[in-house]
Parts: sequence; structure tokens; C-alpha cells
Amino acid sequence: MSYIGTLIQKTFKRRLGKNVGTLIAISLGVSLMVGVQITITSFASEAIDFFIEAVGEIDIIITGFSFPIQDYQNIIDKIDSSSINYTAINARISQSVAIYNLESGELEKGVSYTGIELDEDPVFDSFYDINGSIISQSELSNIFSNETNIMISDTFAEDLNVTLNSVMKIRVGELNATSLVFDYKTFDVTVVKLVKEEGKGKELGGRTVWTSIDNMRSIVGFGPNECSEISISLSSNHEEFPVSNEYAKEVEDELIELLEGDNVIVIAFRALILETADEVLQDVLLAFNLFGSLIIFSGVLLLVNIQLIQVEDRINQLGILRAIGSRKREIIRMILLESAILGFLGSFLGVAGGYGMSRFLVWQIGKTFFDGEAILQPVVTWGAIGYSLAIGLILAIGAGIFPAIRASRVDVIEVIRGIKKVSRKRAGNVSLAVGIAFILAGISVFTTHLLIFDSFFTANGWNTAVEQWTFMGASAGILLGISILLGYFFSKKIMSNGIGLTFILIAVFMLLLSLPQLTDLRENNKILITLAIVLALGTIIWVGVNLSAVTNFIRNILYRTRMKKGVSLIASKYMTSKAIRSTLTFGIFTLVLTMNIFASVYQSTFAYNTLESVEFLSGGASIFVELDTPVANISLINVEEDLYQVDDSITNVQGINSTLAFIQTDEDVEDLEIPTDFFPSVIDLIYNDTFKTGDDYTFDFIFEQSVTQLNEKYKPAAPESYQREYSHEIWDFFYNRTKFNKEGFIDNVDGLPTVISTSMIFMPGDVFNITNFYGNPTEVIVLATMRLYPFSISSSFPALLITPDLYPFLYLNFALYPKHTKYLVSTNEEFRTGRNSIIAEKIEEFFNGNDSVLIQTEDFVAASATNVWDEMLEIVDFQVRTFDFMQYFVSFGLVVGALGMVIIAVRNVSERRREIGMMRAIGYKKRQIIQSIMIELFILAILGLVMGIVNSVLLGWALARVFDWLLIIPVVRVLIYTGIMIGIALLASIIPGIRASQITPAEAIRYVG
Amino acid sequence: MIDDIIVKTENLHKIYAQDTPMEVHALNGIDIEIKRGEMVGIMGPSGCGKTTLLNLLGGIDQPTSGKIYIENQDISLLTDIDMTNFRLRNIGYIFQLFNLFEFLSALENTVLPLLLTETTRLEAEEEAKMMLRQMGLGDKIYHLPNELSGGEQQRVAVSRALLMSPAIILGDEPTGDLDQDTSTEIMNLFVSINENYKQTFLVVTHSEYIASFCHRIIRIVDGEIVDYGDGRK
Repeated sequence: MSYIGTLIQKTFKRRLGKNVGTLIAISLGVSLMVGVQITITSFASEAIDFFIEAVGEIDIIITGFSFPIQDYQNIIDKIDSSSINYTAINARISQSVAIYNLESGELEKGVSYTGIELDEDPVFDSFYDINGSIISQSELSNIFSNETNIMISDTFAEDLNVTLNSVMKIRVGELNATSLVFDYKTFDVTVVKLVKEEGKGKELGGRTVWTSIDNMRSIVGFGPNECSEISISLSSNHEEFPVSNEYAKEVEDELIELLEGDNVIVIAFRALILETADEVLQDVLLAFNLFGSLIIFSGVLLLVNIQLIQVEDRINQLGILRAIGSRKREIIRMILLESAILGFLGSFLGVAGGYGMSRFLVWQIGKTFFDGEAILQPVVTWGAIGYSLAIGLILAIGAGIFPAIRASRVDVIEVIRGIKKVSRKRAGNVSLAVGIAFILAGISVFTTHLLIFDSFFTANGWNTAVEQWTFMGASAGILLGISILLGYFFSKKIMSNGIGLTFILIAVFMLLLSLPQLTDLRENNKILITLAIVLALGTIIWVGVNLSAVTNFIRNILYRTRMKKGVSLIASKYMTSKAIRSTLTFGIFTLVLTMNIFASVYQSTFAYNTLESVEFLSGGASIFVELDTPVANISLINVEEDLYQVDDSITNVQGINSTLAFIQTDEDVEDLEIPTDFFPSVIDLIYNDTFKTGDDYTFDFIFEQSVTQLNEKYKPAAPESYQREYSHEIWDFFYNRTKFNKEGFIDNVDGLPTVISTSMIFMPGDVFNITNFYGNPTEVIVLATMRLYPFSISSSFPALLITPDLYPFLYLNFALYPKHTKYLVSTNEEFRTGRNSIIAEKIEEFFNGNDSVLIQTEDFVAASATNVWDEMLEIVDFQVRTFDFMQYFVSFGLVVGALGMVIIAVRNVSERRREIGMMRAIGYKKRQIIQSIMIELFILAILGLVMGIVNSVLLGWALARVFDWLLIIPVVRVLIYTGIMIGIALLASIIPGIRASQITPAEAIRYVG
Repeated sequence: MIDDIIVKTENLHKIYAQDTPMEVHALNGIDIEIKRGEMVGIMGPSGCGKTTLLNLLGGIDQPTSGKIYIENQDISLLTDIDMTNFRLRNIGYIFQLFNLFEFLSALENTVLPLLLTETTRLEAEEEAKMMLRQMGLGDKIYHLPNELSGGEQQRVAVSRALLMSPAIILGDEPTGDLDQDTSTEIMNLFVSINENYKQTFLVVTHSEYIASFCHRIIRIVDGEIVDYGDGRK
């Protein structure tokens, strides 16, 4: 072994320049991995922080949702005497209010007006004055000595344009204890204290103004022992002593049992937020992880490539070593030891590079996902650094295994005699066993499914990603097995073709036949990204195997150019002679470009089609209006009649009753995609004439999927007239109160009443209970999903539409009935380019402007009027920005790939000094040497580009087919990528090209590597 | 200069690593003349400067001082591009290790120089095929070098050198890697080409046997000519 050590030392010294190249390549590869890892971790942790920022140390909330919790002291006593161990508990009264600075016109809606106990446990944090000092209990007592005094944060005061002693209007609901309804009243409040940006846990539910709980009781008409919420903390410091979601939910269950009959709702709030955040993040993280693994994969290709070069350019030395008696395992050990040393050093540099990459990406995350408000920092822990180093090392060594094995198999005769033996045409004996094993594995998966589910797949067919993955895996097993057997019986070339084609066939087959069967967007994305990877891999393998034919074809094209034919011949043939390395090189670009171009095709197609369909799907509602509370005095204003006077273009105004209810799932509904068995939802009440007059639809909303019996008619690709007809039929079933059973068929005897869903959370056929505050659960079934319902755009809760027969079950809740809080407005303005935004502004003025009757009588409501088209533009813009970010993300792969290409090209040149010397001796000019090096890389880059474009267009086409979208190929972007690719290829080759041209023939032909 | 002198050098010097401790005076005032159609051998012990002289004559290395005339042209005055063009059209190279591109077929290796001229690909390939047939490789034109014997590989190299009808073919130990029978076969091929086409050859060799195929033998020792092979010493 000692001579191996000496050899490594000598080799390292002599090959210093080459090793530096390898080191840089490893660093780049590791940078990608580390960068992706840090970015994903940072995004997840920042996003979670963003979600739970206001929660503080609160775990559980017992709430009456603005309604009073009776005798809360008794509830706290019950909890105290139970087995539940809590750290702190408090009681508050809060109400969502509108606050108005009448002097300057600033209006803030949805502000939490909160009354706190002055001796709240410090676990719920303290208030700090603008100098950062804690405000004591006695000070608070002093501040809130007057019932109308409030305390607000300095930043909120700035937004409202108020300062100390400013007076503002607040609109609060006062509880009428007899009828259990809120009577809305307006009164003045005075700002008496400004506090620093609030401590965590003080500002629950967005922007807040504070008073004492006693003041609040008097303002909202609660009794002395009533509050609206009780907060419970199970840990004084969740960062140091975290509480698991499971434990919090166990406590929630215990509390529900304990407080049965107390008319309260118990929510493990922190767990709910964390789980919801997980759900929300899942899609983004899925895309991050899948795109990230692809980038990492391109990094691995780079590593294998450079390690392969590292071995191949000293094949002579290895041959001599073997000739003088080195054993294969010593050669492997030597190469792996070298890989380990380079991998170790490269990983260190890579961690630094990865940190730099993640800084940029994390900064972009702040801009894209948090509106630039959050200045995010990459989250790097020692554990993550250690992990990255380990992974970098493992990958660097792993990438060295294949080249090391190749090195150990160097044929001594070939090396010593300078000849190349013809390799065996057919695959070896092991392939027979491997091929059969693959086929058997595939068949057994299918058979198992057949036995368990009575079907090749599952009982339900192909409608989940797991089923499709299983199908793909099993089919791939059989096809790969057959390919390997063909290699054993015929030739390795047939085998390799078979492997490449297996991936391509599976991808195309799944794109054509199975993708459209997935009805769930998230499942759809999983499969789509899987297929992108499978397709990219398939094309890389297939083109790599047939590189010779491809380069012959390209050479024939090059022969027609003005370039000397000798240049084209050498470049294309050299590329084919190093097929594995050439394949790895264009493979990097194929992977990265497939992702880049697909992301931009997806982005353009999504944006165009979403916007194109908005007018049709808006059902004629160009503006929607939402009020925070109903107009109290309809003798002052009757919105449905008076709104027409706001603008001559308004053609229709339709009020809708809306309330908040709760969705409770039961055991039958396991696949409902909500993270808890209890979920708030907006319920809109619609009558037979809400959307239509007689048989004419004034607001003609379109449905997507529906319950089983009606869904057969659903054709997203059908013309608009067909979709209208389909939707009108569903409306008829809905208005006629036709009942459907749980299987989705009409059953007016035992069936369930129907509701309409406006979000992806509730899908047709889902069964659940809707219930009110006092709990009268009523089982309903979702009849159909609406494709675009204006109010679901702005709501943070999923909205359901119901008919009046269900309303009595919800009657007590919020007690708004029959007053309207929402209005649909149609105008005769052109949908996209008309004055709808101006009209929306005028509507807001109508409610909240200084001239408004409501303002003048100080009986204001907070109204927001939104132009549907503008709202959709914003949503699409967010999606577009998200994809822009994904492209930044993926582009790092491109940049690193390009740098890797430079290193590979430089190494290629130093490896073929002798050939270049021969070329010069024959009569190749320096210019022609440069050309031959450039053409080689250029062809590889173009191959990657062409495959990237073909794959992306295929994927985009399949996606567009699923949603009946028009496929939009962003030509400019693709041209930019083409330009970048050509630029990279030229730049990457120019330095090694020049180096090559400077090689003097006399010394080069003596060069032996 | 007399017309039938195809190669002439005047006081040719080549010093490697000049002004360094490792300085080597490889050629020390070489004056030679080679006539058109002559087949000349260059002999001498290892390190005497044979290959250096060949490289200078082939224009793939630059002399430290002195002049080289080929076809009456002073090649030491040529720019790199002109020199490359000159090499392409006037010099044919044959090396000891054949120096074929291992990833090109016999035909592709042969046709390369013609593909660097204005000749069309089809014409170039036709000429190359003809040349290979003449060399007795008509049935192996699509074979890769590793599928050919040493003699066959050297015949491919000869075909490549001949294809451009160069003024002179320079052979650097062209049979050094071949057995006696194959060496004889290759040298007979040279002789036959020399006789039939009046092709000038300059062959560097260690072997008296190989040198015996030449019209005359120039002997070099320590960078100086000790015997011109024409009676001059």
C-alpha cells in the first residue's frame, strides 16, 4: 500500500493543475446540493415562522367566535381540576372591527379589537413602550381607566395617520342578549398609548387595538363572567420546549370532552396553523424538492464526468501499474482515495459556494413569497453543514466508483501495445439473472394488485399519484428486464436502446393516457414532475446510446456549411469516441433546460389560459363587494337600489347573505383535504332568483366536476355553450333540492341535501357536517365545484353555497340573516379594458367616502369593492413570480453546468494534446483547431437544448391537454435560453480552444499523457 | 538554387531551453541538400538530432537560426498560417507510432488532409479510397486502426501522407514499431512509390537494414553531419 501512497503524492504534485480543475468541479457540484438544501430548509422554516408569528406561545384556544363564553371562570376551574397540564391560561374578549380616521379618511378593516386581562401571564408576552421598556400592570390600569381609551402599535398608528390623543371611529357589534344578535354601533376611541411592534401572542389575528377586558365587556355588552376566548399555553417557550401537534390535539380532545355542554369550540390553534402551513407549503416544497433533486442530479453528472476524465487521461499510467503487478483493488483504492481527498476539499469549498447561492435564492424567496417584507436569511445550522459535507464527500466518492472500476479494468495489452480490443458485443451472464429478476418483480407487483384489488392497479383505477407510480415502476421493471435480456441474447446496444426507450415510452404513455385521469391538481403536479424527470432521463440515455447516428446526422449538416469538412469530421467523431462523457455533458444541459423551458412553458400556458377564461367563468360579475358588517339602517341606504346611482354603467346588483359556519368531518370522509376534523367555512345563502331572473341567468357561473351521476357530462374541452348547458342542469338539481346519496346518485328518499363548493378543498361527492356555533350538525354532500366564484378569490376560508332550506340550521350564527354583506355587480363595461376598476373605487367611496350618507351619520360599514379582472391579474402575477423564482432556482443548475462545461472542455484539451499535435502536423490551422473544440461543445449544448425544448413542449402539451388549455410556448424566453446556451457553449470552449491552438505540434506528438 | 534541389538547409541550428541550465544544442550548423525524387536516410545514435531535423524540415518546429528552403521557398520566413498551409500541401508525415486517430476509420484518417482543401467530400473520399486500394487496403477502408495490423496501420499513414502529392514525405522511424517482414514490406512500398511517382523521401532510422533501401544515408552525430552519403564528409 505504501507505494500507492507515494504514487498518490507524486500524482497530486504532477497533476496539480488538473486536480484544481477537478476540485472546482466537485465544489460546483457540492455547491448545488448545499445551496438547494439550505434554500429549501430556509424557505420551510421562514414560512412556518411567518405563519405562527402572531401565535406566540399559545397552543389551544377555546372560543365562542365573538359570542360570549358563559362563566369562563368555571371553565378555567374545570381545566385546573382536570389532568391537563398547562403553563398559562388567559381570557380575552375580541371582535373583528372596522376602524376609521374620519379626519384624514384612512379606513382599516378586519382589525382585532381586543380586551385583555391586565395581569396576563408573562408567557403571553408583555407590552413594550416605544423606548422598549415593559409597560407595567399599574400603567395599563391607568391607560385603560377610560372605557374609550385604546393602545395601538406605532407602525399601525402611522398607517392610520394618527398619533397620541387622536380620536378615531370604531364600529363594534353590541350583543343583544335576548335575541343573541349583534347590534352595530359606532363610537369614538382615543389613542392614549403607542407601543412598539407587538410581542408575540399579543396580536392574535392580524392588526390589533387593545383595551382592558372590563372595558370591552361594557362596550360589547358581555356579562361580568363572560369572555369570547380563552387561550392556553402548554409550553412557556416553544422553541426550547416544543409541543408536538399530536400532544396538542390530544389535549384538544380532552378539553372537548371536559367542556361538553359549555357551548364552546376548542381548537388546537398552533397545531392547526402548523398543519395548514404544512399543507400550503407542501406544493411549493414538492416542486422545490423535485426541481432541487434534478439540479442535484445534474451536479452528480458533473461529478461523474470529471472523475471519469480524471481516470481516462492517465489510462497509460494505470496500464503500466497493472503490468508491473498492481492488483485491481489497489487501483480502485488509489482512485477512491484520490476522490476522497478531492471530495473532502471540494465539499468544504462547495459549502461556501452553496451558502452564496442560497443567500441569493433566499433573498428572492423574500421578494416572491413574502412581498419583499421579510428580509430572510439562509438558515444554516452546524448539523446542516456537517450533513452537506458528508453528502458532498459521499457523492464525490460515489461519483468516483464507476470511473475507479473502469480504471481497474484497464486492459494491460491495450495500453502497452496502444491498441484497443473489440469489446464483447453481448451483455454478460449476470444480465440474464438481472433481466429475469426485473421482469419477475414487475409481474409480481401487477399480480399482487390483481389479487388485492381485483384490478391491475387499485380498486379505484389510476386516480392517485401512488397508483401511477406503482404502475410506472412495475411496467418499467418488465420493460427494463426485457431490454436486459435482449442485451444478453443479442447485443448491448439493443439493451441500452431498450432502457432509453423504456423511459421515453413510459413517460409518453403516462402523459397521454394516465395524466388526464388524475383529478387532483397536487397529484397531477407530482406525476407531471416525475414524468419530466423520466422523460429527460430516457432521452438522455437514448440519444447517448445513438450518439454516433446523431453526430453523423449533424456532421452531414455541418458539411454543407462553409466550414472545412476536416474540422466537422474530427469534432463529431471525437465526441462519439467519448460517448459516455459526451452523454454526461449534454445530459446536464438536457436536465436543466428541460426544467427551465418547461417551467416557462407551464408559466405562460397557465397565465394565458387562466386569464383567457376569466370573463367566461366570471358569470358576468365584473365587480364584487364585501361589507364587514351589514348596513344597520336600511332606511338610510338600500344598497341593491342605490348602488345603480354610483355609475351609469352598473347593470345589476345582487345582494347575498353570508355567514361563517363550521365544517365537521366524520369518519366517512377520510380523504377530505383539510388538516383537521373541524374547519371554518364561509357559507353563502342563495335563492332561486339570486343568479337568475326567470329562466335567464344574470350571473351565469360555470361548474367543473360534479357528483358521479352528472359528472359523465363534464367536458372541460367542450365549447362554452355546452358548458353552460351542463352547468344549468346542475343549477336545476341544486335549486330543486334534489338529494344525492353518498355514491353520488339521485336518491330523494335517503339522500343528502346538496351544497356547492367553490374551492378545491371540497370536491364533488365529499360528505361532511355543516354546523353552527351551538352545534346542530347537518350532513350534506357536495354537488359540484364552481370554476370561478368571485367571493372565493378573496376569502381565506373555503366558501360553500347553500339554499334557504339549510339556513335554519345556521340561523343563530352571527345572526346576519336576512341582511346582505356581499354584492355581485355587473356592468356594461368591457370586461378587461373597461372602467370597472374606477367603478369599484366609486363603490368604495359610496360606502366609505366622506360624502357617504353612512359616514355622515356615523353608521359606516367597511366596504371593499374589487374588479374581478384585477384580482385575477394579481393571482396570476403571483403564480408567474413563483415560476420566475423556480427559474432562478433551476438556473443555478445551468450556471454550474456551464462552469462545469468549461472545466470539462479544458480537461478534454489537455487530454488530447497528442491528437491536436497530429492535427497541426497534418495541416490544421490554429483557427481550425479552435473551431473543432468549439463545434464539439456547441453540438453537445445544442443537443441538450433540442432535447430540453422537445421534452418541455411534450410535457407542456400534455399539461395543456389535461386542462384543455391552449399550449403557449414563450418563444422569446426559449430564444433567450437558446442564446444563453450558445453563448455558454462558445464561452466554455473558447479558452480551451485557444489553449489547444497554442499546443506546438513537435512537442505534442511526443506527448504521452 | 538548382531546380531539382527540393530541400536545402543553410547553417541550421536548434537549441532547446536556450539560456537555461538545461540548454541542449540539438542541431549545430546543418547544411543539407536533397534532390527531387531522392530517397534519403538519416542515421545516427539516439539524441543526435535526427528527429529535430525532421521536425524542422516539416515545419512543425522552428529553428533557432539558419534557413530551410523547400521547393525554393524559405519556410523559416512563413507566418504560422502560411506555414500550416505549406505543410498541408507540401509535406507528408509518417511516424513511428503511425499517429492515426484511433476514432477514425482508415478512410477517414486518409481523407483528412483533403478535407481541409476546397475538394468536395465525395471527390476527396474517392481519391482516398483509390489510394487505400493502391496500398492493398481496399477491403479495410472502414476499419478502425485497432482493427488493423501494425503494417496495415502504417500503410494507412502512408496513404494519408501521399494523398496530397506532397513535395517530400518525412518518415520518423516509420518501421520502428514493426517486425522485420513488415518493415521490409513498408520499405518496398516506399521504394515502389519513389520509383513510380518520383516521390522524394527523407527517412530517419536506427537500422542499417532500413537505411539500405535509400539512395544515400546522411549520418549525424551530436547535431552535426558526419557523412552526407554522397562522398562528402
